[in-house]
Amino acid sequence: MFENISLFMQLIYTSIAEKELQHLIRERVYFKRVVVPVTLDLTSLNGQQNPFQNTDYQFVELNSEDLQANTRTFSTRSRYLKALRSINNGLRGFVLLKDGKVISDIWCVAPQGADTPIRHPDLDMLGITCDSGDAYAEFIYIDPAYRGKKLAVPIFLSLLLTLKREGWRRIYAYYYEDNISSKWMHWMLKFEELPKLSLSRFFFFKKTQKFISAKPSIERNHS
Amino acid sequence: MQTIEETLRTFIAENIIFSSDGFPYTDETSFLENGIVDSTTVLELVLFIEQQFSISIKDSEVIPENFDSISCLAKFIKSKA
Repeated sequence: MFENISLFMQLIYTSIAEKELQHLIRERVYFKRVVVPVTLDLTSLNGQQNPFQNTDYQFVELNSEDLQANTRTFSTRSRYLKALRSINNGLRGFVLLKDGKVISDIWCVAPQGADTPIRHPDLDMLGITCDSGDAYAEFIYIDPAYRGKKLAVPIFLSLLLTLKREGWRRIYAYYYEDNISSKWMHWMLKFEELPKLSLSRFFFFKKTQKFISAKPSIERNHS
Repeated sequence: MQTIEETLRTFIAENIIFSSDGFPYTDETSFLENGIVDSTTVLELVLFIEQQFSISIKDSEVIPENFDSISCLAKFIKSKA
């Protein structure tokens, strides 16, 4: 609980510093926002090369040793705390490095892939059950100084290719219907939409449900 | 006077793909398949269309059927006029 409050305070501080407080509040207080769960068959990714090959960027996995030794330089304290909390909660994090600094982080979890199955709250919210070959992409963050540089799709694609190489078969994610950039990114990566949901949130409290579209666009059982 | 298609081609060439040779694709070329419009520039495109053609676009209208090519966009804009 203390960790959550500390992270939240850091988020507020960072948002004020980056003049994004209004955005932070909009992301944490809303009523009946439309959520679109999506999925992608990772085996359908054929022929794509590492998007950061022969560039100044490096896409690498984070581990707890890196974080504890502070060998990765995050742009803000809140990103570091979020990374630490996510790793401790069993999530896998990957970062994009430029000149040794973390300019983006992306997170995923394989609920059935750990020794002890991980119960991710988003999956309950979205009504998704991950099978043994499934993963869930939780979040992507890009440092404001690097937004608009066409990095989001290559970062996400790097994650997908990494998971595919490791043998994962399917990935789930979601976006808000009013987030046009996120929506477009998932389309570029050829994600398929699942039935939409309505979500209300007041800071830490979320209330989902009410399927807006009744018919799923694809079958959910992919085992 | 420029047609809707010409206006869109010029905007995308000059502001999204920064081409000095105009729009180097056909009107049916998919923006998504070819990475012509990406997740950031799609917002610029929506804003431009709203201002240029004095129409209001709902979030739910930003879908591939309406936004994936010059042809799709022109058809969508005409339907809103």
